[in-house]
Amino acid sequence: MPRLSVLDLVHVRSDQTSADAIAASVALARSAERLGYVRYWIAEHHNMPAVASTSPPVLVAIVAGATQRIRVGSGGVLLPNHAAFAIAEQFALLEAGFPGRVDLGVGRAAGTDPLTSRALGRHEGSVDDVLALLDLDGASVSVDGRRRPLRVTPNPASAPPVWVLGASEGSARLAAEKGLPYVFGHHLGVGDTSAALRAYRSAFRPSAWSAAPRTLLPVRASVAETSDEAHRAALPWLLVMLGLLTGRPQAPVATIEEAEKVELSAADRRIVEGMAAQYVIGSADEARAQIEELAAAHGVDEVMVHPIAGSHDGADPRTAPAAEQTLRLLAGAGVRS
Amino acid sequence: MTALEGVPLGVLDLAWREHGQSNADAVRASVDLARVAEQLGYRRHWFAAHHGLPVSAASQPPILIAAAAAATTTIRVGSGALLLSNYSPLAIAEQFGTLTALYGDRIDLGLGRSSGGFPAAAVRRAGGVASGYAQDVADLLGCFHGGRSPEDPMERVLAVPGRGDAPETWLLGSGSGFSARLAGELGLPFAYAHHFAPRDTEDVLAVYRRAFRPSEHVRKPRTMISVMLAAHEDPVRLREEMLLGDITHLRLHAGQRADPVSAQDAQSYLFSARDRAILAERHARQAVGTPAEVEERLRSLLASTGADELMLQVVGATADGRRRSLQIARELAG
Repeated sequence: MPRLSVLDLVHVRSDQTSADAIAASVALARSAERLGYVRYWIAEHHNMPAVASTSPPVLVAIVAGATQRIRVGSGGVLLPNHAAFAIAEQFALLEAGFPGRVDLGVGRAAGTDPLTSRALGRHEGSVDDVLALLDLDGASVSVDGRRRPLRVTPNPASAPPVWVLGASEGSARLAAEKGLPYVFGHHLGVGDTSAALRAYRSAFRPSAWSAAPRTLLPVRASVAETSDEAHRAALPWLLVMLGLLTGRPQAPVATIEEAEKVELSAADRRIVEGMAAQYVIGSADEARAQIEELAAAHGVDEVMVHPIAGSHDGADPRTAPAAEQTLRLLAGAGVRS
Repeated sequence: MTALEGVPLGVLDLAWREHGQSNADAVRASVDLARVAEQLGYRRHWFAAHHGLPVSAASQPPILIAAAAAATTTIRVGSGALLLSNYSPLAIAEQFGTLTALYGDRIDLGLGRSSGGFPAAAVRRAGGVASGYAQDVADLLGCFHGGRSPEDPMERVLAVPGRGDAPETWLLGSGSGFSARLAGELGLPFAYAHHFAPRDTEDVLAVYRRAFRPSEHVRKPRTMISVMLAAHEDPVRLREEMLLGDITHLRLHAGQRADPVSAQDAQSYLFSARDRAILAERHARQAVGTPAEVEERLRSLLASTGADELMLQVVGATADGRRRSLQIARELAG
């Protein structure tokens, strides 16, 4: 079995406020640490009622403050949405606050709708800029087309490792050239994971950051005591994704009971089934076998789980019991005492 | 004598990095100071924002707020200031919405208009959406409270968390009176930076009070002034504690890099006549001195400004010195 880590989008269910959702994520992170997960990353998404992970650096501080050992990071901060200088300051400060536990995952897409993207501002900072700013010697950064000398405070005496996140061979080649660890967005189901990882490994140049290629595989997962229950629990998130794909009005994540009442057209059903086939959905044994198979097929020693399992009506709003169960069963702590 | 007793106190924390301290030491000391402030009964602990200032680890208030709020239980934690012009209002609404969602009514968002003393263009947000500070503040309040016209495209962008997770929002201002007027017009609480613009305090507070219109935020003008604090019974210790801040100030004044100064270098620092004049100006009208001197200064400032709260920018070369200053001020305020 590969090592396991978590990707959290801070799902907001229909029975939760965003405050509940964050409290549930903090509890989930504590569980992940207890279960031996190595890393807890927080994604960046905006303008989605179903997702509260809009500020990874703040959530990294919150989760790292609530745990002791697990590595905590962004998966990832999206470069077009923020000044590279601000990102470097935030992560230099996080590294100072939680030494040796912070990862800085960066993505190069804005990952949001044009209106939100405009509201956040379009920034031109590159992975190179972030790396240079996290160097003790300081950097020169492109500002309005001119290079300016800059130093980050607190000084990045120890900088967090930078991971490049992407969903194209372009990002794979970039990470390889810089000698950085790399994550291909396998869970997004939009590209050829094998080809991207092949490109990354073959072009990799050793660097001060990493002597050898380093990658992990993100997957979406719903795991329960039975395969049937795991499939039921996957439906609420599948409906969120269906809504996004088809441009429907967005809403918080439905409960399992609410999701089962939603009428789907035949076309909708095909989309949902197509997506579900790419997720890890099943009982503990099935899911663990599937994850081992995926890790072996892609030659990775770490799989990052986005626990998508939704909750039944009446769940405590300040917990995410089905996501917690997914992490518990995958970790092999399957039998409830 | 104006009553100093019972006036709510706050700490304005620069997250000082002492000579020989790592960044981790500096952040830990800052979080410890928030715990001390809470134990002493301070109402607020605010983090300043300075870019490119090596003696300060306070570059990004939201990160320090998260760390300090996690280490305390009742004290309000906030920014003093979050420099809004450097960021998109939506991103700030999301960050402070996240903090407020988790920590509830303990989070303050103090907003400032400057760029934090660094090439503004480096940190400023991109994309040509900069439409002025007043518009930024309006956009930010819109993210938290809604109330935009349905035709405003921004009404279709939801801050999650943010909408419904509003921190207590203050405008901070100094000499120009711009932020005072804006805070008054919007019916927001106003904090005046007396610690670096002590000449205009009364005038600018008057601008705020004249412009004030009651709002959903506050019914009556609500004011705070930030005052530099360094207090000690022993004048020799007081002088030692103030050296780091004073030398840092002189270096910045001369356009030099402000790295942490060792106690030894500070002791042997030679102050020119010009230096002494600059420092005399820096300490004028601030709460610097023995407990009796600090008491007199704070009373006279409360009398002349009518401020509702005091925010103490605690300077001091050591964590012990900063803690002692906070204790003395707390004893004075009853």
